[in-house]
Amino acid sequence: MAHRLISCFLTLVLVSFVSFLAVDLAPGDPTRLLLGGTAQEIAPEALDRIRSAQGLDAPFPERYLGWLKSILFGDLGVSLKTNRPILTEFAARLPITALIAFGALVLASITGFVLGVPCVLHEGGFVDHAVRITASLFHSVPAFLVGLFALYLFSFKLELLPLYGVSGGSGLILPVLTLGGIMGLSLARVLRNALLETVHEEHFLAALGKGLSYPQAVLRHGLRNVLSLMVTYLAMRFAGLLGGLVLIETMFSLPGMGSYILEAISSRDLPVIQAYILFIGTVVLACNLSADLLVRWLDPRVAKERLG
Amino acid sequence: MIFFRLAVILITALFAATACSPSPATSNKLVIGIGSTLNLGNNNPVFIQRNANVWETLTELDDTLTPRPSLAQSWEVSSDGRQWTFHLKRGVTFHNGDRLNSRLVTANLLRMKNHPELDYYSTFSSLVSAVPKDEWTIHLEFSSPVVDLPNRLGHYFAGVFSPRAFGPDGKLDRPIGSGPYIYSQSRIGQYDRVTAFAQYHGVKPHFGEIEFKIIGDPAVRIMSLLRGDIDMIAHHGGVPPSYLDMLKDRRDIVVAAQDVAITHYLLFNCARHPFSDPASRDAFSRALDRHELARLILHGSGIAARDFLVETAVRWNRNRFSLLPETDEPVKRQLAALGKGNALTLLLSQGDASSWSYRHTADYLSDYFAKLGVSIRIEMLESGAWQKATQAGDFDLTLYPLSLPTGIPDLLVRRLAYSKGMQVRSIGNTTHYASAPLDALFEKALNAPNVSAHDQAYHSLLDLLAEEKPFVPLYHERYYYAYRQGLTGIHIDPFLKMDLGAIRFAGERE
Amino acid sequence: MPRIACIGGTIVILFLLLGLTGEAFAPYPPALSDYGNILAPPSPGHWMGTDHLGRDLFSRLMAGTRTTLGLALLVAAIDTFLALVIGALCGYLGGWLDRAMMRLIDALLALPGFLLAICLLGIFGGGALQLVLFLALTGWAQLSRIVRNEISAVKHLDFITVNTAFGYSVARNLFMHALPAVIPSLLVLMLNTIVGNVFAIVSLSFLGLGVSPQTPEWGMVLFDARSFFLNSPWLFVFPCALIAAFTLGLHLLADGIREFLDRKRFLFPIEEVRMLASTASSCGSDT
Repeated sequence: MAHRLISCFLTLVLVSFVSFLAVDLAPGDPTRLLLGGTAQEIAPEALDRIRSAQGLDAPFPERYLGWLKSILFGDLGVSLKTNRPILTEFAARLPITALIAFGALVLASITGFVLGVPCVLHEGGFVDHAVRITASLFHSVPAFLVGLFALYLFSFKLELLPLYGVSGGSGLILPVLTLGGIMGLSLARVLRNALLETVHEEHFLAALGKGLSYPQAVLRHGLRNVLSLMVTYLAMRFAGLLGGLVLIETMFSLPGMGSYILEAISSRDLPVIQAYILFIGTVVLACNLSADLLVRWLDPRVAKERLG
Repeated sequence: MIFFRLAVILITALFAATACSPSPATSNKLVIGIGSTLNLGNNNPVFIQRNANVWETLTELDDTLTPRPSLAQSWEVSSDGRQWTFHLKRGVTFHNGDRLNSRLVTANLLRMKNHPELDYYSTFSSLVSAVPKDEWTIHLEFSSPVVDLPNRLGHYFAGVFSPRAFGPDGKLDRPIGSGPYIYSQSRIGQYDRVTAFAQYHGVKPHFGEIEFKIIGDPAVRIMSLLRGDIDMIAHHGGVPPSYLDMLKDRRDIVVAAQDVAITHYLLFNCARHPFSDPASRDAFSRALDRHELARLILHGSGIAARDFLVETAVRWNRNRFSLLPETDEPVKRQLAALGKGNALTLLLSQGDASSWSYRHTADYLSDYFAKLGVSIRIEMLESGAWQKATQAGDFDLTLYPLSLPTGIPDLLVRRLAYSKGMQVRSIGNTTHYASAPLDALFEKALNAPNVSAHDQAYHSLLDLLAEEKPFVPLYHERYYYAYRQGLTGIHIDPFLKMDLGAIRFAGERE
Repeated sequence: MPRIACIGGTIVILFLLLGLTGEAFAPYPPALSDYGNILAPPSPGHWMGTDHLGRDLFSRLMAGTRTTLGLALLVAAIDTFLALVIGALCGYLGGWLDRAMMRLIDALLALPGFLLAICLLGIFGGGALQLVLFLALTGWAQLSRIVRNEISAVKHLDFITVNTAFGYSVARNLFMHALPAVIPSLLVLMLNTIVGNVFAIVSLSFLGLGVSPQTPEWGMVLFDARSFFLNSPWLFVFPCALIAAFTLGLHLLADGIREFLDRKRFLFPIEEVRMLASTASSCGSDT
């Protein structure tokens, strides 16, 4: 485990380097950006003064280390656009993204189980085929297009849900349904296939031999076996989920992290972009790490395998 | 199973939250849909955009971009253009109870002088002294003539605030102004809110609260208006022209247009073949069909430009350009020569292209000139890269928007033609045009001791530009807004500011 | 060959042919604008209607097929090539090279590829070249990890050990014996990568961060249609249908190949999940 933590730390350093370097190589004069695009006629001397006051004339390694140091003290920098600490800006937007992402994961797990298990119990039956076809269809279009059509249908035509914003939570329903639903359908397929594989293993047959009915055996023995696989699958899809959120938040006018990064890009708020790359890298790493721990806890065999 | 139960509880909670639906507009609250926040942050001198009606300026530019009194009631200038006296309006109260007087205005002027990064127009760099004569009179002395001072004091970043609103660094903690509405709060990415200011010195505001609702996607904005979630769409690019017909068919919605003080220009690279030759620029420019461009591509969101500056700015308008193409024999010969060279590079900045219909304009231009035998390659660059490329002279043509924030063409000349260009770039102007007569005329205009000399110098300068054509105007911006039937008193000025205090429901009296 | 693989394969091949010869099918040049016929609904003259510049949507989509598929395939090809070279070397040789590369791959996998591409395109500007570069930047990592794991698993199998005993060279062992064992699972993964790339390209263009404006591309068509969504829905529906058809074809083909190769009746990528489970970190690109 210590080994894994060290590797995570090294990864983080690398991620921070990538994000710093990318923004450092950005075209344009950072001092000018700092003053805002509309500040047009400042004397060159005043410009130089600001440049050295901000430490923008220091060599690269010095600036990078300075940046890392301030991050360690919890200072992600200041947004060029609003002049507020980036941490404050993130804190305002994170809850919405976290709610949608979490809601989508929960919904996906539920849909996965609710649809996946009947597929196994009635292999080749109606539910099995229906799930297979729906999953293929919904997987063939990017989620944001599904979201857009859902918005048009449910919010505009049927006037059931709000068109924009959070609106006390109801604005999150469609995004969660879109992302979670699509993910749930594919989870159902993975679950089905994994369960079918388990069903033919010896210990499962032994369970049947002990007198359990087929559904009982699937629920008690099969599920336990595939749980760790599910966790890994969801963790694997998590990064993609965050990516999908950028477009979904934009479509649904939600002020989350995803729409924020687009805003930052369009206003060339470079420190925000920098902090965002580092932040997302950290979140994904943390997610993978916790998934890893969860898998070990669920399935001690994995831990042993890896030690060996 | 615990996991399962937990999940069920969470989902139920999520659905339970559905109970609250978006707040519909009441007679005391107006909801305006906008594309992005009005909150500019405190790096900006005014914190919140002018159309929030939170702060006011000493002067104001009217529909013809002529300064008229606002917080300043009247003013006089000495014959050398360096001494100004302003008489302030009486009985003006700020949101924190401060009264408008000469000391307050002096503090505001010194804020600009001491913090040049907040003085977007470099108006006060030549200010020598600002002396309060009495409670409502203030005397200003400049080291060089500033005959256009009333114009500059009315531009959209020249707000007057209570001195208690800004600290020693000149930055605003809160925009405490004297406008009809008080800045209340901004929820990031959701809304900006203002509330009525009962002691406003003008017509008392009707709505107790105005909310600017941020809806990024234009189609969703339209859907929200149609569904009745918002009362009005009023923002730059608020109603895309593609939806005009659809909205005009609705009896419960009113659509209106306003010409805005923004002009879009076609820039030539005067430092590189072929457009280093004035004859090429002239031929290319004469071949343009501005009328067709405005009619077919902009669908009414632009008016074909007859002159460098918007038509409402009557002071400068002399119809220096033709709307229809003038493709006579010499022009055709020049174009044929242009067509023999490599494809011309038309550079677009990603930022500009996302705010204006530059992609469509560029598509149209390349299509149109292809028919005349000149091929154009469109290249889109990120804004920083665009700036680098134009500085390096790595383009043939580019599109460029410019507003007229003071009603005077100085920004236009400085950015696009004056060879000493913008100081901050210290490399000249975007078109790389350099002409000693033009520079002399510009310096003459800047140092003119009176308005007639000033205007005369600018007119000769614009005539010279129309002759030499380092850049030519394509179209002026027209802006559409829409609101629910029943609202009255809506008027938008050329800088997109609406007088929010004047809006009410039809039939209602003050 | 299973039936679904045939169906999927046919769809994919049709699209590839379309990409190669799309312009031949197009009734009009994709950039030809007819200002007298703006935003026309589908009609016999224009099967899919026209856009805001009066350009024939069908022709633009046909021309766009080449761009979208070309870019997606190019990214996938770069990813696969890098994966084969780096993954194979690391897996076969092991040692410090392996450890160093795996650290780098770990870091790249912690960065969601699509989000990184958004940020980098935002910083450096859009364009076909940048698009390919930034998508490939992270894309190769996942494939490399899998190739590497497969190779290092195969390396200890009997026949390779025997080969080494016979004095076969490292290169011969690697290319003649170890790599072919990896190809089938790599093929399936590559098809999934292509789906991810198509989605990423379309999404990035839709955000205005994609290819240059003159290039017809599926996402660009959607981007142009964005402000006409309410009154000209066909501008949205047809590109979506095209994307869905192609992706469905790829999914079916991948499923079919998996079914044919093996190995069990699996239609969703458990294999990949399992492979990645052994390393615990990865990234998807389903946007």
